[in-house]
Amino acid sequence: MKILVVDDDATNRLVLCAYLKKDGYETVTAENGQHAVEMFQQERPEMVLMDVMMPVMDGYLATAKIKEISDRFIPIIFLTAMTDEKALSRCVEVGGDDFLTKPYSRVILNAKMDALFRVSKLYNTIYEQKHELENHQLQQQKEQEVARKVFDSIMNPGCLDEKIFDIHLSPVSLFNGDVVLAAAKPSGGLNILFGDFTGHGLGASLGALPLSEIFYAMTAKSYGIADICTEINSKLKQQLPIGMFLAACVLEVDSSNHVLKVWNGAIPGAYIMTNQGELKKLKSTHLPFGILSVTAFDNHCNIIEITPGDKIILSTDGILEAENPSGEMYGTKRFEQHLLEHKDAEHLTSAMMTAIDEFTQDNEVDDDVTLAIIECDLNFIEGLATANVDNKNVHDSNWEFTILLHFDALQKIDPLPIINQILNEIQGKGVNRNQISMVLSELYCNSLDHGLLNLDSRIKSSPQGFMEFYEKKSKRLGSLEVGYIKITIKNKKTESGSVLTIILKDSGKGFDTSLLDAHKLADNEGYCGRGLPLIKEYCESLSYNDIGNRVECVIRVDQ
Amino acid sequence: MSITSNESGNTITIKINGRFDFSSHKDFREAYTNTGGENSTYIVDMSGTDYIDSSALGMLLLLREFAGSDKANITIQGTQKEVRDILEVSNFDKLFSLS
Repeated sequence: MKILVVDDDATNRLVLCAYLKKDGYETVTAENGQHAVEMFQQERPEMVLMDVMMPVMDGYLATAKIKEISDRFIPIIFLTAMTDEKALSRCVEVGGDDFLTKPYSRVILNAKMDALFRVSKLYNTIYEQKHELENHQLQQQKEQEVARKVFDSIMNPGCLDEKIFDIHLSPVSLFNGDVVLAAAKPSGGLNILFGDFTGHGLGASLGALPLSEIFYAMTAKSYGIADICTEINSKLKQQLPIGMFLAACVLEVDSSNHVLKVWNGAIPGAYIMTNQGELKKLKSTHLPFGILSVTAFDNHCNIIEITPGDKIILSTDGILEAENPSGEMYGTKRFEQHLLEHKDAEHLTSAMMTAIDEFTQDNEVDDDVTLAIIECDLNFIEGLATANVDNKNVHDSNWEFTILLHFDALQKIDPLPIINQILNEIQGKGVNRNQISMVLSELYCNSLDHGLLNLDSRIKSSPQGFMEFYEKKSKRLGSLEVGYIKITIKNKKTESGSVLTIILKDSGKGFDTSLLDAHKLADNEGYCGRGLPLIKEYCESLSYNDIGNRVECVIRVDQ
Repeated sequence: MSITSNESGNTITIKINGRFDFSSHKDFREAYTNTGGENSTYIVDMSGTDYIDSSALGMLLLLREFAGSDKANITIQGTQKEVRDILEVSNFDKLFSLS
């Protein structure tokens, strides 16, 4: 170990150096303060033994300078002939670590040196660890920021910025274990996913990547939430470790039929607030995503009738379990009570967050807190699909395809997303894409519901009717033993654009087509349901065969 | 929080007192690690549990996996109302028998 001995007296330096060498130390010397500072920089000793009174620069100033330039802890012991208390205490004031008055005992000097070496060793270890930790932290922060940017861009291709969404997110860390996704289906309607991964922070948010990919990709292909839920569960089951899962409420606003489909797996705070100010709980009927195997998973959705102006309210358990300083939880009762109290507030979310903050009194939260309120402005939601249309990509050409589905295929797959995808691929997201999707979807529902399943649309006109209708539909479809639907779509190029023909033929017994003419467009009741008036608005011609099980619809697509 | 486990014949009873959350991870796992798994019956006694969070649900799933997944024989007993509400909202009654 190297010791810097500073003394203007050559004899003193010599004697001290001799002692130190005997004890195994390496020594370097300086004859005044100025010289000491230079030697310190040049030799990087591990301890300095400093005289006080010296020419050029005294020991006090030299000590202050050395302490200033040193990036580590280097102990400095003053060796001085002065005994004046003030002078000695100044040694410590300027940065010295100890002092000894001359003549000193070699034993005491050794003991002091040993003690200070022990301190410096400890200090330097801590210093190195701190440095390492700081570097590590800095690197981690950089990495997290990059990850966060990627994460945000993946999570945000949806339509959460639209005015119907009022969302409050407050993650406990940079990453959020809570997820809100929403996107309009090209065929009309809105898909929403509100989820809460086990835990919080980076670990919890990783699962959000496959999740958002599935949700947005499938919604863009107009899949309904039942299919999306099945896919999400299978992916998360495969990718997440056991013990990690996603509690989620997935919703589909069907704006043309005024119906909300809900799949709720373990979200306790999900409600509909009707435009009359009544609160209806959306019960959790499923296990969270990522627990059950593909075969055991149940994608059954509950169907609820909605009216324009209803609000969907979704909150994670971070809100319900927020505690006040005395350890009491906010809880469902208070949440519901506050919702009703603030139902007329212009910004319900901020009113609710204020109410919750008042309860917790700034008590620290230990879970991600998310509250989302979505207004069921059905006209607006209807418009979201058309707003997404991209006009640049129309490739008109001549083509035709047919898809024939027998009863067993109809039980398992919904052909509409597949057809929509084919249309997207060959036709691009053309001018009339959404209208085509909508016409196709109405015609298909007519063929299936009325043609094959013999359901009567009039069931839907009673308040409980929608649910009854959907229940009957799934029951009849499940027990179907014969039948088919054949869908043909062809496109013929014309000078100004193209003519698209959609033909649906089903194996049902048809209906009395003479009713069609008598049927008033404004009247929504009757055999053919709500769809036909809408279709007539969009297409150039709509014709049935005599027995009413084949429909042909022509749509002119202008460039 | 305290977790104790008791083995009597083929039945392992794990009793959880206080809060059952992420901090219980190690203790809970140790309570069943050296037990029979698929061949044993497990009773999770929650009569003294006053809070559970989602990581506790995750730990129950890990126990279920250890005890043979779909073949697991696990009963959760003695739950207080708040705890039972959480188990029911999460539909864990479909995976465990609650008594």
